[in-house]
Amino acid sequence: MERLDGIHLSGLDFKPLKMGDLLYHEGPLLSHFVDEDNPSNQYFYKWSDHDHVAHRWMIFKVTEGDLRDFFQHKNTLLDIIRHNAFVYFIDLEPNLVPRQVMLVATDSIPLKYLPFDSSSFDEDGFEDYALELKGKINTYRNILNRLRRDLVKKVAL
Amino acid sequence: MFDSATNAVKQFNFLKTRIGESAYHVLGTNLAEGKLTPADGVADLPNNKGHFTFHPAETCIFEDNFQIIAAL
Repeated sequence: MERLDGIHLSGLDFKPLKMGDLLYHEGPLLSHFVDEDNPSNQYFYKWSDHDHVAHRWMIFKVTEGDLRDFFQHKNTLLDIIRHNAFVYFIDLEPNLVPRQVMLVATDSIPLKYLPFDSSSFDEDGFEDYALELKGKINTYRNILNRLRRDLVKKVAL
Repeated sequence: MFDSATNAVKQFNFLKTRIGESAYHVLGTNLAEGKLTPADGVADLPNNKGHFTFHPAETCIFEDNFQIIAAL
């Protein structure tokens, strides 16, 4: 595996709850997680590497705006990663036992772990969960816009 | 496995763009082509990307059936 330049941590500072897989090939490659204690904090886990024992995942925060723009083809996975100053890398052994957790500055992520500039959303290639998530975000956005309009009307009255 | 070289390359390029160069660790570095018969094992139907899961029989020797045709 690539050598990581960062700070060793004793663990993640959130309680991961898996929501679904966006990319899958004989195993998950990009998954959506939320913080179980604060579900508005959302994360992508991107498979990055493996050795004979552990699998390495890059974990980065995604905002609702990131997700909305991603599904509307206004940003890419690479853009979302670069919106973060730091990302986590976790090396997971079988049975999901963490061997190492590191905090790495986004500028120090090994190049081979980064998606390409053209890492945009593609309805044909992503898993069904991605479409489900896209739908939920649109619904949430529509409700929020309706509430805002109602509030403006009430204030105007 | 994929049902055609075209589908395999298409999926490889799709994943490499989004996962990065480490996609070679998941999918390998070469494209191999071969023919499977019912005696070689059990497979499910290809999905919309042409990918299918194959469980080889104990007697199946991939090296005899498959040849590398290109580097990915």
